[in-house]
Amino acid sequence: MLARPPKSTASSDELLSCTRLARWRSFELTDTFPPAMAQPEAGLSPQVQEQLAALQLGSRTLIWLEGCDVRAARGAVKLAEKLGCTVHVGESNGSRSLKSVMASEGWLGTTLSEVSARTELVLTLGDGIIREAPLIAARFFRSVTRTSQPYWLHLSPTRIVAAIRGNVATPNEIVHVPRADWFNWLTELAMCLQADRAAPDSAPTVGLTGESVKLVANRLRATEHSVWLWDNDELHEGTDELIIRRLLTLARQLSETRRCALLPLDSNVGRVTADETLLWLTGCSNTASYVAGQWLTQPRYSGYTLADWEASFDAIILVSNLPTMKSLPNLRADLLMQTQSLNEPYALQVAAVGVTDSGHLFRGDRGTVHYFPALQRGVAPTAASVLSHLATTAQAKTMEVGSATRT
Amino acid sequence: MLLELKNCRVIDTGSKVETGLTSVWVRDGIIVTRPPQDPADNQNPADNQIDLMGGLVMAGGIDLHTHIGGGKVNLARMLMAEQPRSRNTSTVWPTVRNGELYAKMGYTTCFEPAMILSQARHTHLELADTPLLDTGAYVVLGNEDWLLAALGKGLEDASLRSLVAWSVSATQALAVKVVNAGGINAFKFNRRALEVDEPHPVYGVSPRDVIRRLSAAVDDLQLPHPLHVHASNLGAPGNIASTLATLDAAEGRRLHLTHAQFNCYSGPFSSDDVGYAMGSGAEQLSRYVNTHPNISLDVGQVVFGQTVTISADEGAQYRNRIHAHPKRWIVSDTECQAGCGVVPMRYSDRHYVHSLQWTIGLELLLLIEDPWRVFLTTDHPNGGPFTSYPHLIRLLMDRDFRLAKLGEIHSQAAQRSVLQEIDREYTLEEIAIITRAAPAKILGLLDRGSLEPGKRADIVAYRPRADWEDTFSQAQLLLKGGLEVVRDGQLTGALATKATLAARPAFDSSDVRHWYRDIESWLHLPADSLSISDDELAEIGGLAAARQQ
Repeated sequence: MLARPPKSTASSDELLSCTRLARWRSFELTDTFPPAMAQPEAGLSPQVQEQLAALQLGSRTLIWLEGCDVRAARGAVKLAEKLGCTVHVGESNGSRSLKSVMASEGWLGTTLSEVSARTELVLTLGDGIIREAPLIAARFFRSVTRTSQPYWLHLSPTRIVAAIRGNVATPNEIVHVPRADWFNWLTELAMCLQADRAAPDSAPTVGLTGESVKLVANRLRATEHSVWLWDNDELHEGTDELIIRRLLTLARQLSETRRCALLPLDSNVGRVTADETLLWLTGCSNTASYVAGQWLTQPRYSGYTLADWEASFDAIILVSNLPTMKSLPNLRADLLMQTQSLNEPYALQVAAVGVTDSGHLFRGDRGTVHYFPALQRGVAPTAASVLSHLATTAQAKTMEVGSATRT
Repeated sequence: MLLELKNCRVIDTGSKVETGLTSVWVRDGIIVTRPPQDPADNQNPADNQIDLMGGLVMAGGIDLHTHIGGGKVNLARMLMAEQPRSRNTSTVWPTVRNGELYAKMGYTTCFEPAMILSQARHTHLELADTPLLDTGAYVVLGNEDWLLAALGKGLEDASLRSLVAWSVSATQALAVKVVNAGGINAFKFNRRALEVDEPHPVYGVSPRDVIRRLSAAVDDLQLPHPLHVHASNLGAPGNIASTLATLDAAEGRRLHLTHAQFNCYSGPFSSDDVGYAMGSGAEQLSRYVNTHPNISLDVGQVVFGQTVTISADEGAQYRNRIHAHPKRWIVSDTECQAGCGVVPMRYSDRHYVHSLQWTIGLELLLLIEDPWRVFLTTDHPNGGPFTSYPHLIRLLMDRDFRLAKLGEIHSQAAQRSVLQEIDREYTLEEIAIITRAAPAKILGLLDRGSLEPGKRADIVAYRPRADWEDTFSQAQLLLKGGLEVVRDGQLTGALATKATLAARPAFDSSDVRHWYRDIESWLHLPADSLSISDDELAEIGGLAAARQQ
């Protein structure tokens, strides 16, 4: 889940096997940063300034942060304050469900290094985590700070886990649980463990339908420190919030006498970064509107679909200054800006964090923030400078309107 | 540019005591003496004058312990963000709001006291977005697996000093804090408590060892601020014993006990006291502080109302989860260095323990004789919001008001408290000490904390009002570095420059190479990627150069 660290402690063999890194590099070298873009000029050209000035931005503008560094998120918040408009972090359903559970119940969490250091039983839920973080298992099993290796139990919805092939480490055990059964399966697991706690000498088996439940329950009973790990986007269905709640119940239940934690990883570090920055600048999570001089969470925006967003605003500025691993279905996330205020969407290429711009990004577990210095200088303006320019322009427009009124 | 603040009632410790109204002079952001005037020239030498009409004039306030930035604060914001607006009385405000509220109250410098290596960048990013304040942070040590393992194997003093110095430098910190030494780490191995002399279940080192070794390292490095200690058994009945043992662990070296109120509970009085098992340890702790000049403390005063508690002491917060209000809480292990616990709390004056906590904080402030070694804090937001400082100042300065409030709390707590017997009322000079001069002194901030010529022109004026709470609630005028940022309780819109205040202990980089290897093996990250350079710090917030020690 670590996006392009300054340098890695992983071995070169491991890095070569990392499909995610390979995809990142291919994006970097081809689509996103073609050699033709390598110009020395990094500021806003007069032509660009003219185009930006033509944008019709106001209080019905939505600034959609698809994925960006701290500086760009700060710029977006500043622009929204000038316009009196809304900032939204383009989160996934899985991320939204997770946040809903955390805000309503709380959390029992951990971070990557903790898992490497002392977790005895790692339970991965779904194949997404293996696909999105191919090096993560190696990280857990390479630890030199522990005397015994963790036991890796993978719960897979598929009988053939193709994604695991070619990875450096493989699970000790794969338990097949059909995707549609996850909630019931976890509920049975919780009931099994609860019953065990009430009567440790006679763990009931009546009513349990799957051997897999008993198998995992036995593993958990024999373990002092366990972690449930999954990719945030794995639990993207509308009802998956219930699965997250059930996992939290399990973790709390086990933590009465042992240690158990939950670790959902977000593969979109730019989204995590935008969300964290928005939170400390506005006090609002995910969506924040600047109304009458203060930041507000508008409840009506909760659960908006993409179509709802597009219908509710006159202009949408889409911000992304990271090479993206995958596009959202309907948004061109590889562009900085896309606005409906012009007849044709307007796109402006900006510098990419860690390549042609320096920036700060959170890790997918939010356990640390990395600084990514630019590897080369000046190919395009930074997202922050564009947003700052728009904020300045917005201020100037406001002043013009003000003087016209007075006149 | 020479500015005269005239008709000031100066309340200060460093400058010459003036009995009547006088002027304070400022030139280019620095307090100066009145310039000599040509007798033949009747012109006032000032380029600008502000008439404060008898306002109380002090140095800008300094809060040495307030949780206003970093990962756990943002978690608390997230936990409270989705509360319905009508019920959202969260005290974890956005960074901008924090800066504005502090400024309106006359504060100019604040310190985030809990920053771990891995989250130092996050902390500085938030502090950079906190306007109108100079800020700094304390790096948290004492629960890292690599450090505990090394201490358990008899780590040499020189090597420990190198690690401490590197940690301070790498994170651009001003001081070193220990949170429940070894106890957070032990919780990760499912040990629910670790007594001061109990060996860590894996590494063998005891909390006493950790405190003793780290306080010695901090002293040897001549860091301006002593080791900042969050003691073991926070919030547990009877924890005064382990608190005093923790202070003893310093073996006469400087040590600062933080949010002492939460570590100042006597044990059960008798078997009849079921339900009222906790009592006040304030007299014991005050006696100790009064007879040990190496010890200072900040209080962590409880204020009644809704707040959110946030701490790196995840074990203590896990215990506290049963008191969560509303019923939601977060506990997390963090990067082999510490933990994080977020538990919302509503302190009620109808509740015995909350009332007891309220009395203990005030008892400490009133029983400790030397105002240079006791500091007014709420451990924001843990005891309550920093915006309650004016109310607390009134409680300290006005005995009648204090007794009236004592009559409103839980009767059992009121009866047991010695507050009824305490006549002391703080003077204005003492308020200036505990909120300005003493924090500056104990943090080594030689350029602020008083109105002496040569100090930074961080100056606040308060218009005297009906009571002290009203008086200190809003600044009549606040100058930050000579720039007027607040007038009549409202922000002027001027953006004062900010600085990050950091210490620079000397160390040889070759001495920390073996630590790099250890840290990398635990974190699976290049250790040097944890270091924040001056250039990066500037990029984080366009901050002024860090302070040189």
